[in-house]
Amino acid sequence: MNEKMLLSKDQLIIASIGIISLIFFSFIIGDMLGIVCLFSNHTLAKTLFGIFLFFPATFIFFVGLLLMSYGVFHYLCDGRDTAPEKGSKMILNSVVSIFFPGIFILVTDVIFLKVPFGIHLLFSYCFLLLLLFATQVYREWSAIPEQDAKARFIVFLENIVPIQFQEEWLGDLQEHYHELIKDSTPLWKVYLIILFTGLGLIRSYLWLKVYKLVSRWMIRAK
Amino acid sequence: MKKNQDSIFDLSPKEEAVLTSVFHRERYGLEIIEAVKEASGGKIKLGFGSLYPTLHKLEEKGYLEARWGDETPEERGGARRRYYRITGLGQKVLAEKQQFLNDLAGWEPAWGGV
Repeated sequence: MNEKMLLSKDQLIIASIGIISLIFFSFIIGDMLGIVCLFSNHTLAKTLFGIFLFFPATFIFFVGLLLMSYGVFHYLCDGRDTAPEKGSKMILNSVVSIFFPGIFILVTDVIFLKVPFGIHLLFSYCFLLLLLFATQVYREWSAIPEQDAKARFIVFLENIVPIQFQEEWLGDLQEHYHELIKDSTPLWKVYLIILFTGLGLIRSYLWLKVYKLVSRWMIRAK
Repeated sequence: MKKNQDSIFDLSPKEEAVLTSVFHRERYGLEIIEAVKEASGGKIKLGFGSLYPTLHKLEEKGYLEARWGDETPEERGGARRRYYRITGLGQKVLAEKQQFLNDLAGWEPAWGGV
């Protein structure tokens, strides 16, 4: 790992999981709000209430942006020769990917739907992209050796999925990847499938954690 | 007896599909996904996000048991496969469920119909 890092790898994992959880929480709040606004006669009071509800989401969004900027800044200050070029590319990618499609969705939804729902979609979309770029920043921070995109993603998952599940779950994931390649599936589709499968593994892990927690509570309650 | 009656209703369609897929031979996670997908003609797609929790629940209920395979294929990055097979209890519950569905399909009212 890069010696210049201010946060340790474990702290980064905890921060990433924390941010992801908050993002999902914001999705739920945003969805609820969006549906309420879309199907009810919204007044100024309701809209203001909506903005108030969006405050936590806004806060997380800016924290996310700050973290990403910090990552890019760190990357730019890295000693490697290619770092400034890659860092600039990352900034450009993040600006284009986060803001332009988000604004496009906002504008189209304002026209076709209601304003608050459009704002909700903007945030949801930004969070999703932020998550993808946070993954990229995390990989750079962790100084994972240059490999192909699949291996990088699996290495990233190795940092999230606990060691007792890695051999089975990540082994199946890797085998699935090889099967897709063998079947001559288009590369973009392979990456998309692997991305969603990886997210499925994270979901499995979170489910198991919650299941164990609930089981313990049930036993105690009995 | 009550426990048996409960256990057949305790089996979700997903759990039933997974149990049935390992009825005749042991299989590992990816193989189960493919078996379910192929057998349903691609209509049922079991994701990684739901497979492992289902396997965990079935193992906990005692309907499945697992073992590590000996081989370490290169395409898995040297990781071993974890094979699952149905237990006697699992077979019994599955047979009871299928028997119940057959009985239900063939049931006729004692008073000769409405």
